Amino acid sequence: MAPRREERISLAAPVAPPTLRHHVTPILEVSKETPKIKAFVLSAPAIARTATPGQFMMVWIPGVDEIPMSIAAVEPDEGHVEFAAALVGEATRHLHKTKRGDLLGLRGPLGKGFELPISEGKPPPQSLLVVAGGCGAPPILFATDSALHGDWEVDVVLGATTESELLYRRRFNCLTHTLVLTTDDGTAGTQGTAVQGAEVLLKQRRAAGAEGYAACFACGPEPMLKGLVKLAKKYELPLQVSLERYMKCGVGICGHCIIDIKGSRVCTEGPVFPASQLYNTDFGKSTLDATGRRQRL
Amino acid sequence: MELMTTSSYRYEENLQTKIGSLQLENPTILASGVLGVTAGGLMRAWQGGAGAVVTKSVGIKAQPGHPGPRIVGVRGGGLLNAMGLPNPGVKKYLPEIKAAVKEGACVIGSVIGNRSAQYRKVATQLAGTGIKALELNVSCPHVGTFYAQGLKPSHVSAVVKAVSKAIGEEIPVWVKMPGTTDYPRLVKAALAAEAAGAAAIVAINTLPALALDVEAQRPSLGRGIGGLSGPAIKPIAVRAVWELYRSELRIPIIGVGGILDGTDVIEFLLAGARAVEIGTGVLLEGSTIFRQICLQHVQYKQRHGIETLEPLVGGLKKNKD
Repeated sequence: MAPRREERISLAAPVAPPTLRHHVTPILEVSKETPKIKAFVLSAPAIARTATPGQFMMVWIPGVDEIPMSIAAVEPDEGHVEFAAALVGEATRHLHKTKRGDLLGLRGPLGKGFELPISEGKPPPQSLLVVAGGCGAPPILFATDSALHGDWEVDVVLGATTESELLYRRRFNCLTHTLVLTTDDGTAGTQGTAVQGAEVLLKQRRAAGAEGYAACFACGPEPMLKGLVKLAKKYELPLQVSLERYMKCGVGICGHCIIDIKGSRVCTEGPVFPASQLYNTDFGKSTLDATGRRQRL
Repeated sequence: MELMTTSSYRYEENLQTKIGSLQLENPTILASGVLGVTAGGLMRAWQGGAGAVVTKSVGIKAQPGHPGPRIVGVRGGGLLNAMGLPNPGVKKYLPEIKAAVKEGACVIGSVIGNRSAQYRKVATQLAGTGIKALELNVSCPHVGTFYAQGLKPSHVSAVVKAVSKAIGEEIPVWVKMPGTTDYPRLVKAALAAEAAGAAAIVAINTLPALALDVEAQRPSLGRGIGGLSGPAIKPIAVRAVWELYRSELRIPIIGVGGILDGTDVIEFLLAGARAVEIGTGVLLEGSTIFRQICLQHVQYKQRHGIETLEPLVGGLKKNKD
């Protein structure tokens, strides 16, 4: 007779949740996407399985720092996750030096992502407009892919300063028929901003007598998002934007990314907010630096 | 049970407690370093039901703090952090305090410094903002020599004296003590604070600790060492409060360490605390933890047939053989 297993009594809480401890894993792939932006693919099955578009991870570069990164893509079957980092400071400088096989630590998925509206009696397909500016493209790529899988029609506006900085251009091209490119210098697509690109699509739709977009998702520099909020009001477009703020903990306890007097945290209630929730906040006005000093935008 | 509105639990449930001359509407206080970088963060806890909110510790000059990772969870109900006292410097922080005071919050200003002169300068600036008390942080376990200094009676005494002299008697001075199991030293330092004019002792700060990541084979936190908080440290904090309470100390004690619910708070009250501070609990239970605890206290009072929480304070002493 096999000995009976002793029953285990546990006083200890289970292992800390994946939002509070790092999954340390080697980089599987690094690719230079633009002169300033590199993409990283790692194996993180739990994150790949559960992450939704717009959510982010805290990425630990051992010995350097830990920074928040939006999830650009997941492969739930292979357990892969991808994020893309622009070279902006000390931590990303080190991150850009890493290569295949180097270890990074990931915590997540964190925060609240984009939410596709539930159609009320309307049969699919419904239309979604997504707008990505500069290094804001990663969560928009994830959202586009996910919406297409849910039988949505997705129109994409991808904007950057110049042609070479159009992040994930090829991948967006493979995903959707309607890809509007805008560049500040006119080297690709229309010369102008992503907001102007979005307005062209909205006007076309209106002129064609088509139904408006059921939702619009956006990520990019805050002036771009500010412009979109105005545009959304004009066209009565339900807009959700993904915000960026200095984050220290990523789980809502340090308070560094709070944007209003009610204490809305970009890392927890965000990073994606409905535009309607951004009135009476610091959105478009100010942000805190590493010390907590308020900086005008 | 449905959550009551802010006004009803805060003013009608007889949960008041007095820390010296300062009356709080309930004994739950937001601990320093949690949420309080901006007025909005303080208000989040205040709206969550806190009887008072303690600001982020501020010093003279802006500091970015330690590199990340700054927090990590450990098995067994603990959280390690090494934020490194990031703060925008007292001058830039004043508008945040004023905004929270204007919104009606009972705000306690937390001060850090290297020497008593720095504590004095920061305290003087905070004094004009409408804060109801000052908490002197002499106990951060992962920045410079703060931790060791907090257990040095001469240092504690000098800091309290310098601050009290500068701001007068109108604003009570609380001293936040280091996390330690060296209770006799803790008591000595607390007695020094009392003798120097402190109005209350806050015990304890996080405990010095270390967590390693075995894949990376290095510390899990950017700073290396960190401070342990959460349920893992609660029995140590309760013991610290008890040791302070049964010593010659006469000023009120505010307990801190691993509080997640109303029963945790009652434990601290029985050990001798008149109020408690909550930090990690905000992460684990959400920012309405304060309100939840108040509701549990209403039920506890009914169950034990008491009108206020007052008879519970130091109850352990009465019941001890």
